[in-house]
Amino acid sequence: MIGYGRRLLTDGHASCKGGPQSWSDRINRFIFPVPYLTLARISDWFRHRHHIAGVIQTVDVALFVTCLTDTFHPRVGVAVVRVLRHLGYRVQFPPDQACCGQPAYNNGFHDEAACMGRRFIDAFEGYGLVVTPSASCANMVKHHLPELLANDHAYAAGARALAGRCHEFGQFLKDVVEFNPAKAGASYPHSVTLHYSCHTRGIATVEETEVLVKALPDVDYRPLSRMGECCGFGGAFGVLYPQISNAMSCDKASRIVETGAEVAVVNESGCSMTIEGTARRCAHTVRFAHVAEVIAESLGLMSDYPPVDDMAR
Amino acid sequence: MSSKKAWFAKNVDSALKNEAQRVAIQQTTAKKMIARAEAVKDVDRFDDLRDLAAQIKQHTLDHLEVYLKQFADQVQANGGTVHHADDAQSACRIIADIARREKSRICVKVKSMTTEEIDLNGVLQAGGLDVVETDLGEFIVQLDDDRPSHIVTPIIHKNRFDVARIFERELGVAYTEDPETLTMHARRHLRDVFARCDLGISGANFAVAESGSICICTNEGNGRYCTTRPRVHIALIGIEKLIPRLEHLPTFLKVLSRSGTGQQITVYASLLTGAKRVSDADGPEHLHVVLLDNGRREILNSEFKEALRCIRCGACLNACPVFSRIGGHAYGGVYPGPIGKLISPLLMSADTSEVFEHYSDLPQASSLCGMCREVCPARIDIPELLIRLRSGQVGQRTVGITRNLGFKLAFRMLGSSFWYRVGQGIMRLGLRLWNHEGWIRSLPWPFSSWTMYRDVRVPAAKSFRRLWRDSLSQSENEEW
Repeated sequence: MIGYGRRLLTDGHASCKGGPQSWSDRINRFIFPVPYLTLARISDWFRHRHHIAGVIQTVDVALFVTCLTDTFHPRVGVAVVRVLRHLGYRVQFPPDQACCGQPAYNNGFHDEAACMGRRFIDAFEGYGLVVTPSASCANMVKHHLPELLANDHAYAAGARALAGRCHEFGQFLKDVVEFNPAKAGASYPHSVTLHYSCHTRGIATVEETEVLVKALPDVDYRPLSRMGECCGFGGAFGVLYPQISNAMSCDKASRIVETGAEVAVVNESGCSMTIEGTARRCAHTVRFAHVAEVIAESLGLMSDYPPVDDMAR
Repeated sequence: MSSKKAWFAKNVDSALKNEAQRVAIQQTTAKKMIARAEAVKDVDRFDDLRDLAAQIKQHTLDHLEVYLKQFADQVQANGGTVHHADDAQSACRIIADIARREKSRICVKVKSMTTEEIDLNGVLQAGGLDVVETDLGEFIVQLDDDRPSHIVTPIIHKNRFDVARIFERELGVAYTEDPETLTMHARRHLRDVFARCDLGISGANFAVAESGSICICTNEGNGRYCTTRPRVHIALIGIEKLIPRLEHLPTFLKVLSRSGTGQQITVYASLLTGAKRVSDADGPEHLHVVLLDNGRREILNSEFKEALRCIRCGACLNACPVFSRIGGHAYGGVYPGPIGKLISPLLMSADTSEVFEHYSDLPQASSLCGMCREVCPARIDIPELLIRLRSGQVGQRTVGITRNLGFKLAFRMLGSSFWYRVGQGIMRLGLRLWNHEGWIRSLPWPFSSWTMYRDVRVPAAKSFRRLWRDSLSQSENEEW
């Protein structure tokens, strides 16, 4: 209840000011006059009431699905949920979650990023551990949000707390669960290669990321040469400088094809969108999968949801 | 607006079309990265050494004026003369004046990016002086009337066939592609110059405040010739090159060569203290030290201060996936690559609006992959500083009205879960218009640049949110 009161006091438009009063700001405010008194806010209020009434039980893991996974790769989200449940966690999906603010932050729109960060912290307040299938979003929550909101009295503590609770999926399995695929009865009789996404830096090293895939029983792991080199996505970079970006993606895609692996494991929706799209344009037919999908499949959890089924569902 | 910015796009365009250059750059940078990885292994806890190097540099920057005074006093005590130059013009004037006073005719130069920064060669040559670069790479650049494209490996964009043609054309030697023969040609030519030179100009890799010593690292020994053979030695030193004590130097020598070229130490590391004394067998009769500001104090007082920790090892250039595709010339400044994106605009611009307008592409043309941060021996967080520059662009409104409004609108929507869902719905329906067997081949502006080279997946029929609501959350209820 206290938490909600705090939000009532600090919430709303006032906290989003701070930027210069440009025309674009004014137009923005005109279009979204009271952006947070929306359905989401109302449902939020109900949720908190239920909390107090004890209707909703405490949850163990909250899934932060991320925008790209939500929209383009829902199967990854399903895989995360199933693996976590298989491991005995109760999974919740905070319904108010939207973007963590990374695109705004990386493009230099720090006022907007702070705004998005505040909403994001609100959405995950009251939940325990947070798991996300994206290294770059985890990076934003763990490293940049606390910095960005360091001077915001109402949210600085929340940002720091959330940073401590938030885990990238692979690292959650490795560090928190101490997942051992062999003991869990996993089997993955396929040849795989792994692309190390740039924003995993600061969360896990190349070696730490490799461990999960290498440890899968029956797997034929084929190391990718220069696996740590960027795939060329980089958010707006891929749209603003398509030529440079493409030169990078083409190299990445052809190196993946060279390994001859059936499955290219990528722990980041942005990377897989980029490399898969490039490979597809060049008529390569490697399957791209997220670590969560691979692990879920190795545990036999995805038999009712084939890889290409996203369109049909 | 577009004409002001178009230079970068043009540079990138021509760089990407130059296949031979791209191959040369990618091969060399890849080789250097492998060499670095090997060289780093033989130091116990190399990352700790990087921390130390970063801390020493940061400390020096925090107390720069103190150390500058100490350094200047020591140089003078050792018989040298100290000059202070606020900008490129005054530095060039000071050096040209010295050359005129000393009646110099032939000047030999050690490789120095700082002299490139102030375009010293042009000024001296206009004054009638014969200036010869003595670093092999820089020598070739000078013969070809080109510009260096890398901080450490200036001819990274040329292959041996290019060099063979340049030597045949400019030195009048028989065409040969054999690197050794080519090097011997250069050596013979430079020996002759060394015999006749009367002025040596160098930069400095490090300047030791405690002793007033200048440290110059080279691999060819030309640094020693240039700083001992001529009667006069002028050292042009950026004020950020200082380190407090001699005992700090080994740390930097260790990280510099390992990071930049993968060597354990550069072949020559010369420590020069003062002019020739009576007891010395050789050395310059006159030593002039020019301490160059040229925008550095401004950076020192800005949020980009840590960029001055740079020791110009070139590791971030070798590591950068963008640099290895577009090469150094595309950056349009003296300092290319990730660090160049920061310091070129900051050092070369007259004011902040030029930083944000003329050089607006530089901070944007990065995927923020973080490889530069990973290899930087001075632990400069280049991606973070690039984001700060981007933020500065937003603040200065140099982003362009469409992009500015578009981004702001998109970010407002993405931040609120209601508008996020609305946007997602619209996008899902919209993108389906271009559906082609589950993929999209082309999209209208502004996404056309994305589909120019790659396909896009059609968004899933049901978003994860929807799946959760429809079935996933229920299956949990069943289990629990």
